[in-house]
Amino acid sequence: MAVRPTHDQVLSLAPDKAAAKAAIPVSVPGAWSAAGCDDGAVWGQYIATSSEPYNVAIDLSDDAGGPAYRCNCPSRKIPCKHALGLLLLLANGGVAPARRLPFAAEWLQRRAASRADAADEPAIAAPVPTHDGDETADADGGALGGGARSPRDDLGVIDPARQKRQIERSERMRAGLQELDRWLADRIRVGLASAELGDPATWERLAARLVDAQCGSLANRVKRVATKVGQHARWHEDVLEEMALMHALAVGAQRTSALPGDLADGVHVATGLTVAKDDVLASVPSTARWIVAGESRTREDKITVQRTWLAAGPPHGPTTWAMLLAFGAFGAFGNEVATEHRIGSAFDADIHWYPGGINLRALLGRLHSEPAASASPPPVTTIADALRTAGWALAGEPWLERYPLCVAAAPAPLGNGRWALADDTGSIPIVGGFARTAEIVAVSGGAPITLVGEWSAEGVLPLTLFASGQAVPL
Amino acid sequence: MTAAGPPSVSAGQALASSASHEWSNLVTTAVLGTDRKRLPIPPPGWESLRSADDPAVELLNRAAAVATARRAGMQPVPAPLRIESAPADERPECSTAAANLLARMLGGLHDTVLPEWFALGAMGGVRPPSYLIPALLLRGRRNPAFDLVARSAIGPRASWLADAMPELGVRVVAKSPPAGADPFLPPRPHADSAAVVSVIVQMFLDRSASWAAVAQLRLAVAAMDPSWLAALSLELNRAPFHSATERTRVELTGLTQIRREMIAALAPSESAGPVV
Repeated sequence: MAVRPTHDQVLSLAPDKAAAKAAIPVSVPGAWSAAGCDDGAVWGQYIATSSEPYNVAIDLSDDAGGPAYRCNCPSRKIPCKHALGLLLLLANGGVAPARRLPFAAEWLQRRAASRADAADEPAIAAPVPTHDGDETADADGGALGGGARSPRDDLGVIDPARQKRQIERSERMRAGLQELDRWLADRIRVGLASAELGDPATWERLAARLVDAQCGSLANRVKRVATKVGQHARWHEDVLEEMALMHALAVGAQRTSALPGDLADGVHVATGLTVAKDDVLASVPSTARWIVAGESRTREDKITVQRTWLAAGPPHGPTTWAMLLAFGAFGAFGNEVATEHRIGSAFDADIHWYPGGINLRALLGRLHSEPAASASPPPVTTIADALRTAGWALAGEPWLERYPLCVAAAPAPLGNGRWALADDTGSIPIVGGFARTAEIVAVSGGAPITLVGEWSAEGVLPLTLFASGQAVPL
Repeated sequence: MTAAGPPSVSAGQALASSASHEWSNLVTTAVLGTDRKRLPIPPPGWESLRSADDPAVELLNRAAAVATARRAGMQPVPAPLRIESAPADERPECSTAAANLLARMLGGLHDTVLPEWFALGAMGGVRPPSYLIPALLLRGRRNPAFDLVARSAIGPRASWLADAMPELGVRVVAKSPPAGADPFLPPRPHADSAAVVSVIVQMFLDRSASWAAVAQLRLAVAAMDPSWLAALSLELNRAPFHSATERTRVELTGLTQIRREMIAALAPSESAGPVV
């Protein structure tokens, strides 16, 4: 049997005082079912609270690195109070030698196998985060590149297990990207006119393999491209454009070391490598008065992606735009992402940028003022200037799918029920299928109005109208 | 993969025209497939920066460069003909509070008192907010009596929008409600609102205020003299709980509240105090 820790040794493992305190009531024998131990581990099922017991196992076999923990409770603390409680129970002599429970045996076997694989034994075996639910945000976070998860190395030490997982993941991604690129070349070889391109299953299979390769954002992109097939007479051009950009991304992602740092970061994020929230929040912030200019939502599989556009800048530009992303499950009641920031409000705050070729996606850091209703819209530009700005952004990140703009423009009919926004510098079409053009026309009365929208290759998606001192979300 | 360095204007124009040439070459080849069609040699300025043995990869490389240039270099298209401006309307838009109430009622919440919104708005000389015009006109398609009232509240912008957007299908205007249809007006006020309040209270006491009676009760609340609404709110709050009447109680409480808010929001003078 493994050396029994003392009571104080166990408490010294607690991540904070609260966890240590909470562990003591957990350590009563009555709270545990099938608790057992052997030479290298201790395990048990914590049954005191919920209907589903928590499966707790602790690997004690690593003498140098200290214990590693597994518990399927939702706590983010490592070790959680259940793991500490079980160790306390062990320290108090409350755990008898036994055969490993199946879940514990499986987990310990996996750990042993990965230890055998690792070239060097980790000097510090930091906790292996295997709490259930830990990975859930992952694939969807990649929906737009990087659903961030906070790192677990609270002490600032690099977690070798985490590093190893990252390496494994990037290997999987590399294989996925190669497969994507082969697939793209195959389509070009047989031609876009071939019937299989019109078959949704062709695309679905590719998307599924990209999901397996943990390139979630590319998988979603593939699905979006699939919807463009046959959409109008010149769909071949749209699809070729998208395929070419995905090719650029796939090639770029396989040789990021040869790219400039910012571009490499952008490629990583666009292909689905996640960036830890804490790393982003550790960057130097941009502090300004931000106007909540608009909000858009798209559905990607079972996930609703919500983009909140913040704008800052002097009244006559240049505007700084920031995009906050939020994700929600798409359930029976429709949209479950709540509107966190009221459109048209403004606040002083720190914004931290995600790494990449351009500053766009960001996290909200410290608020310096309470959100207040703001009568003024973001700085307005001409359509030509807005497109130029979007063009520069696209030059920085060619795979960018949307970019915000705020223009003073009048709606003008294109025929067939399609409309454009027009000013003296030209016009840009409103995306097809946008259902609320009538509101824009009605508010404008034919005259220019201030409007925030999203540029995309299909045109502009209007998001917010600013009229008579009011922001009207569309 | 784009051309290096910022080109001069004329060089840029030359590049733009060769870009469209290159793009149409690439599209044609991609549609047929590189197995069947040879990839043409790129025009000057579009030589691939990465050579590839595989013509399909070569095509994708070149297409990525042109696609990036096309997107990053996009220009506004010449503006289509604009629509005529809407005729002027001297009446101001209603307050934000009144607009929000109208939007909620158009969404189906307590629309029993919707006619009163228009009556109060007309008295106060205000019009609905422009962003609600499409919703009002579309609702009018199903209800000619409502359409008459809504168009008169909207003013000249109603027929202007109908003409500017024929796709809405709201051009046809009935001159009068069809024979036999009720005009879209608030109900005539009760002569004795105090009695109505006590009847409602009694209905909650003897549990006859079930959901079956709700339509009738809604109309009673809509027709009550406004000065009695505060008292009704109080009585509804105090009504004894019973599962058979609770849903009705919640409904009438909401209706009373929205009617009070509406009267306050559309009051012609600022003297009207806030709803407590």
